[in-house]
Amino acid sequence: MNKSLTCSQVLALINSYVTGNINSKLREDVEKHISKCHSCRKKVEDLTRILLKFDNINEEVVKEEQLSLNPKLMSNLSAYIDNELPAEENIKIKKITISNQTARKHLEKMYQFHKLMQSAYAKTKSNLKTDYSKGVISYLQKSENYTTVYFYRLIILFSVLIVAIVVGFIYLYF
Amino acid sequence: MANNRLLYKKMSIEELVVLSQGEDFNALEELIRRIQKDVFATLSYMLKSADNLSDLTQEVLLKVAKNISNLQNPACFSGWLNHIVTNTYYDYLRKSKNKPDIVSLEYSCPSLDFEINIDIPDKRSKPMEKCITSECEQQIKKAIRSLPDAFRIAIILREFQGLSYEQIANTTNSSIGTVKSRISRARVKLHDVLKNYT
Repeated sequence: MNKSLTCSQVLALINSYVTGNINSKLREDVEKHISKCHSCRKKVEDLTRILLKFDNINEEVVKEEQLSLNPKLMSNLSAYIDNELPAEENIKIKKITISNQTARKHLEKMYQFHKLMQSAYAKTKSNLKTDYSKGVISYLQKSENYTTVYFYRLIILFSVLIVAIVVGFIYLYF
Repeated sequence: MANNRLLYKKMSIEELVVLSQGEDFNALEELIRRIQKDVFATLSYMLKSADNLSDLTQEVLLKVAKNISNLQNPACFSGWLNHIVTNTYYDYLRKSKNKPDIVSLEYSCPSLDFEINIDIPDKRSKPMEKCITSECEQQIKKAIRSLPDAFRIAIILREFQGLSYEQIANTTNSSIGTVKSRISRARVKLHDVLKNYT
């Protein structure tokens, strides 16, 4: 028995047909039906269009996930803003940021973040109210004086020792 | 005397370094004055709290003053200074019985050709006006202090001191690849913590 499918039957099979997960015989039957039925054909076309859009979005989401999970790319983006990439990698990153919105957003965020860090650092620097320079120089000069004094003391001690040894020899032999 | 001071104030860091090496104490004083805020701020982010900040800042400045004559190449002053800052911090960690990192005490200038940029690296744009409140600064400091040591030091030397990856590798006794990875991972962690501020 080779009965044609009804519209209700086609409607029930529409998801399977559009996703390709349908028995081959039933696919033929659906195709036969939609070749004659304008309304069912339109439904199939609409669903196909929706699913195609969903696939594209899914792809972008997957790509974004890949970007955020891809340490190598993140590391290269980071090195790019530090101007630490070799020329070849530099060009690759430039191309990626032109074509990939997510990569571009990451890069913009990094630049913003860099400026934020600079602001914070400048604020921290301004928190220092003490001037250590005079204290450091004064300490240095004092310790240099001590060093000199000890040095001369050692020289004198050493000289006295040498003289004592020489005098001792002279006394012993003469 | 006042004219003399003004003279030193107009000199570049390199000039001050060379004069300091010739035992010009006025030049050395001006040099210390010039670098002290940077040393203070850098240590402020390296340390987990402000407890020993003043002592360590003075310790670094004194080491610079005492050892300025040992600096073979004045062009490497920035890298040499950051080497002292980082080593002082590591010594402090060792003394506090935290996890020690062994760092070479010798500093070899990676390249004699590069130009030293002592100033904050990004001269093209003014710092963001939107967030320089104390609260914001504290949040950023807290976020940076929460990073693991290796990441924290790498990101500080890069963002605040503008050192190249090679210089940072030299200072932290690691490879350029490791430095690149640490900086990237530090940025990812910080973005996560500070997303409300960007």
